[in-house]
Amino acid sequence: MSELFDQFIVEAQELLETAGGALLALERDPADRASVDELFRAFHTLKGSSALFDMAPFTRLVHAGEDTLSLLRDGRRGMTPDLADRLFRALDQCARWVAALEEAGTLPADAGEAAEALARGLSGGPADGAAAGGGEVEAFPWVAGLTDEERRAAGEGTLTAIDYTPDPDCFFTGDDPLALFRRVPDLRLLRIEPAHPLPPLAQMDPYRCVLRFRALSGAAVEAVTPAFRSVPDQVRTGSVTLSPAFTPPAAAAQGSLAATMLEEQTRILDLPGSAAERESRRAAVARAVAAILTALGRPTQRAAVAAACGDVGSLRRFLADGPGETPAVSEPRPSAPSAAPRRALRVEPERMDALMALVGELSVVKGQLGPLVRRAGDGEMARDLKAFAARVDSLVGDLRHAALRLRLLPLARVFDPLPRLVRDTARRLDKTVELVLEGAETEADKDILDVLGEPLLHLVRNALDHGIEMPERRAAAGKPPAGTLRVRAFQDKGGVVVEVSDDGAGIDPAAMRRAAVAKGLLDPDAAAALSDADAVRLVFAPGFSTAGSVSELSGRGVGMDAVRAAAERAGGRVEIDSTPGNGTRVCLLLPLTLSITRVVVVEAAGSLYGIPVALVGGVQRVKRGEIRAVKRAESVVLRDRVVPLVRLRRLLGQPEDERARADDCVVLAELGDGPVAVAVDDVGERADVVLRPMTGVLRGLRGYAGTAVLGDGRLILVLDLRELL
Amino acid sequence: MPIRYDADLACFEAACTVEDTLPLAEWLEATAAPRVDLSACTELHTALLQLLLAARPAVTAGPEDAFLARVISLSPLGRGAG
Amino acid sequence: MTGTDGSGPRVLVVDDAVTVRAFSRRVLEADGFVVDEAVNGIEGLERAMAAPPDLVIVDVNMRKMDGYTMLRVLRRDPGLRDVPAIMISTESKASDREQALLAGANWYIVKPPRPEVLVEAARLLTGRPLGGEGAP
Repeated sequence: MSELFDQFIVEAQELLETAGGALLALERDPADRASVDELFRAFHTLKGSSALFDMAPFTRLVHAGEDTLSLLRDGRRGMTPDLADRLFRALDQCARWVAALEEAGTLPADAGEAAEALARGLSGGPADGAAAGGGEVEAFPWVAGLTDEERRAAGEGTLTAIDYTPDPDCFFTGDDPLALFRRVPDLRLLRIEPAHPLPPLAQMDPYRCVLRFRALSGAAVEAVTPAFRSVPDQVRTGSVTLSPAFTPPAAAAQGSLAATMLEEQTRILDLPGSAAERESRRAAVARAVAAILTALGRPTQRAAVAAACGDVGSLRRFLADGPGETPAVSEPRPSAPSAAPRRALRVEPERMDALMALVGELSVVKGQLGPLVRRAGDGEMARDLKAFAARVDSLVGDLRHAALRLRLLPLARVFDPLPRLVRDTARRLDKTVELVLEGAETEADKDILDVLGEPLLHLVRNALDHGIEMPERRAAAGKPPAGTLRVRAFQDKGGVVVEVSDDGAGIDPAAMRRAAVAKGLLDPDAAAALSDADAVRLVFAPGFSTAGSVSELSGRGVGMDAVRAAAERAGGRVEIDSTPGNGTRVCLLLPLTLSITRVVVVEAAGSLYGIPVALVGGVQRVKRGEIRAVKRAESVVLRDRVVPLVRLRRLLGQPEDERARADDCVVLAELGDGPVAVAVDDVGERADVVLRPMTGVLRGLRGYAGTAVLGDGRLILVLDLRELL
Repeated sequence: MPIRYDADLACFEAACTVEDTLPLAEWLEATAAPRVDLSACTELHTALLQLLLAARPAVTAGPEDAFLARVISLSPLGRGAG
Repeated sequence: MTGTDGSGPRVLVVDDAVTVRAFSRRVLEADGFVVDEAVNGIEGLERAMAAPPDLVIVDVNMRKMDGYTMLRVLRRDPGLRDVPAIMISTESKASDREQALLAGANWYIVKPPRPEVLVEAARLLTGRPLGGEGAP
């Protein structure tokens, strides 16, 4: 059954996701019928599918969910944030169970109790008081673990649970625990089990009672307790509510299915309906009866059967000579041709990586064709070679594009958890927040999505926690009481951008400067010299935003440096801008893919280096005179900002450029906590390269992200500027 | 004696009380493949039930007493006896 | 009825739960039936009209078109109105059974079906001999 089981896992995951979305929508708009239906159907389908397997607690819980939804659907119960919480908890539990099922193949041992507790929460009813419904099932956890058979025996409704653990020495005082249960009215279930594993007979003390009794009675607690008057200290009773058993006894029981089915056909003839309905039912019944008789080895003329199906009486008479118990001769069973179901193709990530690596190699090899073609000169063969090279070029480009696309997934994957996160966090904080998601269809490499998930959650949490104010404060500031959190994704110059913006309190640069000084990160002069934008950017400085007090000052929470680090590890960067009182916007700029990195090729001291494009804010020439030098520390004003300038030769320990030059070539690198101008000898092309981590002796070198081969076969070192600086 | 022992078969009759505990324990221990007939048993002391649950003898006939019949049928004894 | 070419009777399973469809397919195919699937009433009707089955097994609650509606439409179609139908549902109440029969079902099975029950019902309604183990 494992294939079927796998299918269930996938189906359950999908349904739970659908249900989560529908629940969010429903909470927002309790009148949203489509979402109620969607949610109901999800629970309903889960119930049906899970019942195919041995996972009664799962079925129990989704059944309770279905019941709740059916009340909602019929307007007999209203949606409240509290009920939404309970439904979310139920969905979460199911998701954990599905994960456990996928992992271990079974539900965890405590599933029965968990299911019962959650189901009870769901059936809490409109009053939702602790006393409503449920009873005290948690005091009798075994009630949740009843087998289907026991549940059927116990029936439904409010029952009295009895938990009796006799004193081990009770036999000496003349007690006979079992006998007490004879006096329990309406005893529905009696479970007798050893309180501890029974020792081998030879080691057993026959006069010590080691049994434990658990029972359910249909009578009220008051009617049950007198039976245990002599042992009040050893017995617990309480009322519990059992919902109806969900697996009824098999319909046909012992009687022949054929006979029951034939009887049912006669009954169908009697059902009310329009003349047309009854006529078509008659036709269906006639065919069914003929089929059943054939199956029983009594093939009968269709016409005769049809004639007999005129009314109940004639069909009864027709069948009167006993709907066959005559065993038929078994016919050889033909094996059915199995139709292959259409499936989405799943590819192992390793194979995908291998393909990407090959495509990368191919691009590089292809690049070497260019020089070859040039060397071939001008002859006819050279022309053919050139045409051939051009064709290979475009094919390799297409191939790379196609291979890249294989790995692309919509950002919806990382957006999906957000509505729930926002909903839960906002509710916890007593804030009202409207989440606006845009660009969920934007695609990015799977690896990038993996990198993106965590920082994105962090940003959203921070915005809720520290950005968006409490409703009263917002109202006082003349804002709508509900905050708006916008998460927007889009593609931009070969990368993907995810923007998290809120209309909250914003970050006060003055407070940031004070905090930086207080923390000893900057001296007062340096702090004062910071532009407002750079002061705000301090949230990304390592160790800056780890203290709780900062969040109150700045409106930003902990761990922003972790967000920056994650973005940079992926070859991207993070930007922030904020207006006090109006809100904050944080942008994650990430490359489209991890395996192929777009670099700006720069030259220093005769060697080529690559700087990831994602870090490059611009490239320009700067006149020597514009560079201010204080001792050896140089700086330059770029785009109205004072930017420290570093020389790549110096960073790499190369000799200074002795050539007399009027201007310097500068690459503006955006490094999260501030821009840096990197002076290089020359700036070349932008190139897509397959980045290979440093290996062997090179691995110890700091400051390099890896090596890469350019299209023309030249090797470059890709810089890790942060490490280098 | 409410319990009659006959080689490997013990017949429980009428009310079987705590007095029968020790003899039953010894018999169960000494008998290789014990069988019990509970059909005539009207009362079964907890101490005896506990021994039966520990030794799991074959039940050749279940109790006619409705309450006991239920107790036995729901126990591993009942399931073992088909 | 059983095809003369050795292929078994065709059963159309209409259910929006992929697990239930897969279960029914597995159980029925193992018994020699040829199984076709549809995920809702509309698709079920389309499949049935494209290739009239010998039996339909229909779930109740499905999006787009539920099982009741599908059966009603089926019973109005001149070419399909006599196709035996089993309705399958998680509900065990008598009223649910009644509703199924009113809509046009010939039989009602509570989910999850026991494999042998499903097979026996399918055999009976398609006129396939039950074989030794099928009859009591």
